[in-house]
Order: sequence, then structure tokens, then C-alpha cells
Amino acid sequence: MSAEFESIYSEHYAEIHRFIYTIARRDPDMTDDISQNTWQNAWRYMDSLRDRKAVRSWLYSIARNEAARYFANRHVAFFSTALTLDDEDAPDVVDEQDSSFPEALANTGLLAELLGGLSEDEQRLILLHYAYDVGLNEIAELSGLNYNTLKSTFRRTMEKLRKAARDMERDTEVKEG
Amino acid sequence: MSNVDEQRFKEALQTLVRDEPERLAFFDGLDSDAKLPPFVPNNTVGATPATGRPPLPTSARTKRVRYTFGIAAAAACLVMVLSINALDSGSNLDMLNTSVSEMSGSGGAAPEEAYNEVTPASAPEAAYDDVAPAPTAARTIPQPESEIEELDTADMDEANALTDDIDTPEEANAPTPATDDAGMDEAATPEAAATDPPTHPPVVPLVIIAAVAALLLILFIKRKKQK
Repeated sequence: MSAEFESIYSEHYAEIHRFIYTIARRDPDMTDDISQNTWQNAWRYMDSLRDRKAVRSWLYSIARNEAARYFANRHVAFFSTALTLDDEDAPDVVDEQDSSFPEALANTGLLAELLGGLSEDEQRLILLHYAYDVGLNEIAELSGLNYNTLKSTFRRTMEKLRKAARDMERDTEVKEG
Repeated sequence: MSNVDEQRFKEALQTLVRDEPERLAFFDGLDSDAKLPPFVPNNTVGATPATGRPPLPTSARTKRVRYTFGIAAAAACLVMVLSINALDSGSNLDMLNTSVSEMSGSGGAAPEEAYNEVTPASAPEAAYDDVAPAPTAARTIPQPESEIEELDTADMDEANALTDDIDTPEEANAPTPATDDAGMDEAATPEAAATDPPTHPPVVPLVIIAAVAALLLILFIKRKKQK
């Protein structure tokens, strides 16, 4: 193993592994399989990487492709539970205009707490889209869901997160007041 | 309550995931302190890498394949042994039927009766041991006369009664070498020896194979449940 690859591997392994863990439904076996294939491919096609600065996004692309192949070949459901639109906790009407983000959502500590209030699949959806820059169309492809259905689910999930953040801020204000 | 833009939310989330993943309950299943697993190129599971480091942990897929093959192999062994066993029992039964029909055809008694009558003079096991090696050796099996000489005088009457029984092959149809050569030949032939008691089903290997198969099955089910 070349020294260059070794340094890339040690530098990016944990981050790529977390990404794969997120995409792979938190399944340790699935994560290991996809991770192994990802690094094997990275090793195999290392010479094709011309811009060494783009190694991080290159690794993410390989991991995404490997995950897509895994889900397609194994016929594994992308979401562990059906993301239903009639969630009792979700607001009845999604305000299309409300794209504001309460300040609590910019605080990492509060954000971690707020994310914990969502279901596992909802967290995955938000993490994949915002933290890992995976487009909704790509998530729709991976999951086999209709793009519009996924978009509605995403919107509803975000609204749920906003509502939780506002409630948290209100509670804090009341306590301080 | 003030708002922030989407970009700040995104940055906060990325920082959280990249720098403080331990704060997210979502990543609880990942061991953040876990040592970096060694990377082995060429996907050679189980091979010793040139670096001298241990190979990558066997992937779940490989484990699954091994489990499946293991169970399939165990099941195949079990089926094979059972089939052989069943065939063996069948052939024994056929042989027994043939012997019975042959004996009945010569006007003799049922095999069980013949054995019962022969037993007092010489134990079946000893007789078989002596007879089994070869027809010529079989002819040297204990002579009824020499055995009678060894009996106590107190048992003479009984011994005489026994010799009477043995000496009348028409009644016993027993393979007494001195009086019935046909019966002797029949008992001494390899075909007859094949019907001997040692051809019992191989119980011990069967039990071992069944136990191994059961163990593999339990492991498989256990692993499924863990998943």
C-alpha cells in the first residue's frame, strides 16, 4: 500500500465510515460491506484521481455509488420504516413560505438535542441532505421513492424540526423571563 | 426569537457531524474510539498481507456465505448418511428375506428357531468368528464331538439332548459342519457373513453429524436474531 493512499485512508476513514453508516440504515454489517468495497475501489482507481485536492468528494462519490449498488443488488429497503405522511407529530399544513431557521438550529448542542427528537429515518434524511450534500433526487433514487413524495416528507420533517426548535426557544425564554 | 439562514443551519450540522459526532445519538452505534482497521488491497479475505498486518475483518457477506455453505454441507452429509443407512437397512432386509425363503424352501425351521437350537452348543458370536474368515477355515469350527467331551458328566443328559438336536439337521437346519455341508457352505459364504450383526447402522457418526448440523443451525438462527 502506497504511503499516499495510507495517509488518505487514515485521514478520511472515520468520516467516510460515518457517512456510510448513515446511508446504510445504521446497520453494522451493511456499513462494513459498503465501506470495504469503497476503499477497495479507491485503492484500485487511485491513479485515475487527477486532482488530489478533490480526494474527499471523490471518496464520497465512490461511497455513494457503492451504496447505490448495494441497495440495488440486495433489494434492501432504504428506509427501515415507511416514511408516512400522516405522522401525528407533523404539522397538519406545511407552510410553503416558512423556510426560516430558528437560531437554535445553528447551535450544535441544541441541534444535537433537537435531532434526537426525530425518528431514525428522519434524522437520516436531514443528515444526508444537509450534512452530506446528497440531493433529494439522489435520495429518491436510492430509496426508490417518488421524488415528490420524498420532497413532501422532507419538508414535513424540516417543519417538525423547526417547530421543535421554536418550542425549545420559547421554553428557554419563559424560564429566563 | 430570531432566525438564521439555511447556510448557517447547514454549517452547524456539518460541524456537528464532522467534529462532534459523539453528541449525536444517531452515531451511538459507531465506536468513535475504535482503532483504524488495517486496509488490505485486492479484497483477499483471510490472506496475510505483505505488510504483515492482519487482514481486514471478514465481511458480513463472506460470513453469510460461509454459514450458508456450512449448513448446506451439513444438511447434505446428513441426507447422504441417512440415505445410505436406509439403503443398507433395505438390503439387509432383502437378504434376510432371501435367507428366510431359502431356509423355508429347504423345509427347515425359521431362522430364529435355528439360532435358538444352536445356541447351547456354541455361542453365535464365537461361531461367527470362527466361520467368517474363509470357507476352509469355517470347516475347522468346533466339532460337536469335541465339545461334548468337555461337558461335565452332570450335564451329560442335557448335552446328549443337545447333540441329538444338532445331529438332526432336518429339524434344526443348522449349519453343523459334520452333518450338513450345504448348511455350512451357506453360513460360510461372504454373502451370509454380510448379514451378520456387525452391519448395524453407524449410529455414532450419525449422531455427530446431526449434532454438528444442529449446532450450525443454532448459530445461524442466533445470528439472524442478533441482526
